[in-house]
Amino acid sequence: MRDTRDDFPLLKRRIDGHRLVYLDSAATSLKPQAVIDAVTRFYTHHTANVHRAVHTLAEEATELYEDARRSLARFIHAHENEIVFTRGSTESINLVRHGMPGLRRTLTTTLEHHSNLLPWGYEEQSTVVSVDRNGQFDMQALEAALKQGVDLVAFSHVSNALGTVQPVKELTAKAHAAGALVLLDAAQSVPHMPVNVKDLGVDFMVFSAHKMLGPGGVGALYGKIDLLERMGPWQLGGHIVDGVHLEDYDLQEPPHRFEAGTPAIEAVIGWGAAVEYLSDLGMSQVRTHDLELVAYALQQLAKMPSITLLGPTDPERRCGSVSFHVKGLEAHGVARMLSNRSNILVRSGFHCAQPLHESLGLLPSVRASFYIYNTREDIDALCEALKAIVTFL
Amino acid sequence: MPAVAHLTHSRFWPLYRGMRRFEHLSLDEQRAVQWLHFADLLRHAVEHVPLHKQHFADAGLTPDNIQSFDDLPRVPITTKAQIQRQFPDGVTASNSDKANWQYVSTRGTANRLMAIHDFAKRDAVRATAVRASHLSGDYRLGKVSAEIPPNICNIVCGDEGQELEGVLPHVWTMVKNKKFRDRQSISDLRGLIERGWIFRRRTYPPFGGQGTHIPDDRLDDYVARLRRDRPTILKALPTYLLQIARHVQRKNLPPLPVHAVKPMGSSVSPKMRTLIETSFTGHYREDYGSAEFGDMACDCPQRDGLHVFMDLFVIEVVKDNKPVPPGTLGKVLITDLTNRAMPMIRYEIGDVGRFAPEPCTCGRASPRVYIEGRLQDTVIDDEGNAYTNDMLMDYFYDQPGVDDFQLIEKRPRRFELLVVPTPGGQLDLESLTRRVAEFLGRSAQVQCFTAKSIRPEESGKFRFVKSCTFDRLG
Ligand SMILES: Cc1ncc(COP(=O)(O)O)c(C=O)c1O
Ligand SMILES: [Zn+2]
Repeated sequence: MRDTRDDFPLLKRRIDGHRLVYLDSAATSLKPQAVIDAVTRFYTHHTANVHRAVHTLAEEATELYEDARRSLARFIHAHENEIVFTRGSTESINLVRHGMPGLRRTLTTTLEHHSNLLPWGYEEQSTVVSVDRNGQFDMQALEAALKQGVDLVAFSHVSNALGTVQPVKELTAKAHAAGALVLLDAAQSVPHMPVNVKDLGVDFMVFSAHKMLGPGGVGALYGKIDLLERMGPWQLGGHIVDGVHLEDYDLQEPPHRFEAGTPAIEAVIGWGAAVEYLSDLGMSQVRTHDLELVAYALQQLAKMPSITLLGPTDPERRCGSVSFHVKGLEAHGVARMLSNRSNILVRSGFHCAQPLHESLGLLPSVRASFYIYNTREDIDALCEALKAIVTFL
Repeated sequence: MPAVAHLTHSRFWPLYRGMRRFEHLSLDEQRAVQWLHFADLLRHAVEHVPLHKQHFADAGLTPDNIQSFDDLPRVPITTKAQIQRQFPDGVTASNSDKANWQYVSTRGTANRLMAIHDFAKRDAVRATAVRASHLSGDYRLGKVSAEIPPNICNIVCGDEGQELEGVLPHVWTMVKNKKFRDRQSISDLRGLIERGWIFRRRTYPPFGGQGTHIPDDRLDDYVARLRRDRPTILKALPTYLLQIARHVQRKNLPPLPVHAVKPMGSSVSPKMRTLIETSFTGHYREDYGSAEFGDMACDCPQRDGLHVFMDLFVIEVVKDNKPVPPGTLGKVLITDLTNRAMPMIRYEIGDVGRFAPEPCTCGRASPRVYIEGRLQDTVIDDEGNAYTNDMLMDYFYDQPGVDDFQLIEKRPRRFELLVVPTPGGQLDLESLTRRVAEFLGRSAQVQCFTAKSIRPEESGKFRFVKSCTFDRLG
């Protein structure tokens, strides 16, 4: 993959004269100039509402907006009417929960991000399958639950806490064989690897723009078209209807029936630019780059006796991030020292996966996460700073 | 009780007795001891700590150039940013035994200073805490004390504390996991014994994220706890104390049985003091301390300023790095005479204050300092007049109809005032706006809004004034 660092203006920022080492892309990614430009261009030349008027600007805006939907659909090998724009992964999951009829018995796992746990895990007929220290599901429990009957299985492709990649195809096949639908939380996978929804076979998939170079405040729900057609709208308002009469109204076809009100137009357009940018780089190359960084980070961090790595040791089974504990130091202390000393920005805490940490008896951890603009030098900087801190214990 | 204290650490009693004796020395004697400690610390720091070595080299100085406290202004000031950049390796002593270290304040927001204490410092902090509670609050070991800490985030951050665990469950966990020799477990156990059995400290839950104003039934809960525990000392954020005191007044309840009521983190205005003293049976008392330093000063029965612990700290008040005369406001600098693992020398702690011009009538010889708030909460007008947090609190709590407030200086001299109106009171927002603008000096522009509650900062603490002109203080 080509060196992309020059495309990210934030990387030119200096704090106290020192460069930034941004290792928190799993929380949100930096934005390339191409995305910033696309948003600015929309504001400067095309500002108008979508789907509402016949004047020039409105037509341009609608076209740009729908172009983005098309790019996104191509990016994950879906059809464009299978892409619903939402506020993000979280809203996409909630849309399925509220819009899809017949989801009484759901199954999820302790590995999930809170946004894929809270909507499912607290109902009367829900099963929460536990995972081991590598993020591997308790397959016995999962199969037993499937045998009992499950309407929907919801799990994440890549764990934001342990970095574990799940064998989605296998799990989906198992779920389907038992008559369950599958919702895949792909917030951490779509940014980093080629994802083909048709090949994976999942029924729903959710992801967010801001973790894949795009603007904040927008995400998508992919749903197989026949399922989307069975779903009702969750929010009512403008644009979701074909005709409104006093006694009733006719719903639009998907995806429009789910997009009530004025959407985050400029964010969607910026996301379109992000997808084009990633496609130009090539997602296979992005994944190779990611694997290389994860492998290097695992290898370098493993050399330090005071560091305990979390998650699988095989880089092929991971994606995007490396979480660890530092002996004798609280995670927040480590994160603050890294930031204060060296402008190395990592995340500390439970990473929105508190049940995971609690069920495995883990204290809050430090997470370094990577993306296309990170390099081996960033990992070296992290290790060097950690060494300075831990040789002090 | 001393027998139980021995369990936790053996240095405690000799230290504590030494501290008590020190309080009876004359000012000159105290100063002489302080100087010996200071000169020794300086030599140690310049020899063994990269930061201070560098500071002295840059200034072209050696510790021998500093002959008395008159030379103090020549010693370079240490800032938080300098420490954070080099923490821990650059700010700790190379000859200090790392096995004895404990990290302090690793939680909290990014801006909070982290520090390292060795065993000696830890013992000093413990003994000083008892000293401050005794001198300011008549506390004795074995009596009950209560605390309402700020609201810390544990959803995102994760709660790594042991605070809620009891001594016996902890011992049981150690037995179960065969962790008798584990340093951390032993250290945790020591802390638990100390908190639970020696200090008999009760920790009540904080108010929570919604802010200063919480429902009556929650306030009733604090009232019930205090009546049950009857603590000698209650320590809590000033806001919490104020709300509980007001609740007692509103509901016409008999005063709460607490001997000494102490604010945590900052002081309260005279009017609030009166309110607190009518709502609790005891007195309002104050001390000055932080997690990084421990207690540095405390009041006396005169309750007029805080006597500095001169055996443990050098406290200075400066403006443009020059000492200011007693009575004059300036920035507070702290030198910690007992932390040899991470020496802190002339550290700009971020508070403003002034020294009392006169000796105290209580008989304690040490000088008294008034801490008037955070530097960042100090508004400076175009003429250079400072309005400290304490002054502004006094002013606003004196205004009719104002239950609480937050004054935010958005741009120099442009203020936004948030007011929580007194329930059933008469708040004339327009005239308040006019009065405030006048009070804040020429060119002040004020916009007023009302709110139901003042919300805490990320750190869980409250800021009632946010200034953007504080750096004018010099
Ligand atoms: C695995 C996973 N799922 C879901 C989310 C939620 O995404 P959003 O906050 O964009 O809705 C995140 C974000 O951190 C995530 O990492
Ligand atoms: Zn006195």
